[in-house]
Amino acid sequence: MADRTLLETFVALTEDLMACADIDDYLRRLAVRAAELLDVRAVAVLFADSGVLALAVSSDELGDRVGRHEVSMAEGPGVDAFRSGTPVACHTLFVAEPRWPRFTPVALDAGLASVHAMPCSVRDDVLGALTMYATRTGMPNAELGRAMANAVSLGVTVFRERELAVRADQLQHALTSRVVIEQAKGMLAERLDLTIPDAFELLRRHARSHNAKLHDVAREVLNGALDLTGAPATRPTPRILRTPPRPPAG
Amino acid sequence: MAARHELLGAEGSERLRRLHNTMAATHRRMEGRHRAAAKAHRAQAERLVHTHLAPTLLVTAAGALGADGAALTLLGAAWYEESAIASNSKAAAAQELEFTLGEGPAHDAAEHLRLVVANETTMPDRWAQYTTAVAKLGVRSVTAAPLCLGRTCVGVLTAFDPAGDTELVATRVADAVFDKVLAAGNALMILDDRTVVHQATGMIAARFHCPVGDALVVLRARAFAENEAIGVLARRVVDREVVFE
Repeated sequence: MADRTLLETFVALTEDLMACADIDDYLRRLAVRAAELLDVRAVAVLFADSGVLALAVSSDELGDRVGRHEVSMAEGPGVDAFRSGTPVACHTLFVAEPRWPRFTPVALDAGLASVHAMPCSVRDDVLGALTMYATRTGMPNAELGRAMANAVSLGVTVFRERELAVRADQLQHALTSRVVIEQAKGMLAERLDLTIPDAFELLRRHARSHNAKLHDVAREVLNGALDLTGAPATRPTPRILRTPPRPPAG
Repeated sequence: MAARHELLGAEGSERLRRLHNTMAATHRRMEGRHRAAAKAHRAQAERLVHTHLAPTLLVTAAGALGADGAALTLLGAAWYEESAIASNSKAAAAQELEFTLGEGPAHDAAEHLRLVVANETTMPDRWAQYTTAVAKLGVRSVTAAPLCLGRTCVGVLTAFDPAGDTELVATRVADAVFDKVLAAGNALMILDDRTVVHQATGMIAARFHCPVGDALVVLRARAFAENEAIGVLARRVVDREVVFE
């Protein structure tokens, strides 16, 4: 039965990885799944942004509150896991000399009894930490905690790559559009014996009158789908021959 | 070490955020604006970039590298969709030679997504024709740093005759240039030493009823055979001084 939950969680995680639109969405779902699977009160994911650790997502309001305290006070399990790059386990918060003098009262106040954290790393880079806040003393399954922390790192890698690919695509698209327009100008100039500026004007006029994008028209010219020499509707009318619109009859 | 990487990673995402913002802002501006106003705006942006940003950017890059010149090549999805700008005429000529010959440091940097460093000793083995051609301009050594977004190389910064130990400097300068390129977005692409080449390519494609890629091969071959700068030849094609038969 535990195996079944485990299986379901990881199937769901891989599906999230493919379906989620952005990393925040993915991590938010992951935090909720991690809290359930690890059987802890709340899970928070901390991330270093510009070198400063911040709360990225949490499974619920309590995780949000405690996670925020952790980063604002710069002490707690997640902070330590991030700094050391190693797992942090605090089986009980009920001790005379707590490891985190400022964090512990806040955690106890929130009803927590034990706290734990796993670093999230990609190769040698520690990106952040997955923190687990529990209302019972003891420790959640360390292997599972590690698996969830890995799922965080995996998600970050995947979404980062995806975002970069989109940006690269946009940049290349912008560049290609410009080049294609220049090539189409040359092609029209040669076909219709026009100057380059006149060829551009023809392209522009066609795009405008057909409510099309200039680079789409240019592309059609280049791949032969659009022949501006042919159809009368698209043939350029020399300015001097253009007749004024006739007034409507009657 | 980890902290440095974090910083770099954060810089990366900051850079992306800026690009995103720039693009979004551009879209919003364009949408809301009257056509005439948009045209005026575009013309002004073009002038600004022409007179200020791009030359400054590359002159600064060349200076930081202690180089005689620097060229920025932006790569489209297809090999014949390239645009380039340079810090001076020597760098422009050298980069154009690489474009004509189809071999050189920028090609290697883009292909392997790695910094390329070569000097008088190592250049001839790597690029025989290129080395001979640029030597006539006085170029003795080169570095080429790829500008990568993930696993896609979207451009290359090439430095000609950079000074001293350049690997780290070249990477840093390329990063700085890349930031500016992404921030400038589409505006930077208006600038292009290759514009007339693309126009001539279109003309040749029309003449031979062939794809533009093939047309550019024809143009490059002719430039190479006649030992003429491809930009000059392209200008003559566009001005109809040269007709391909």
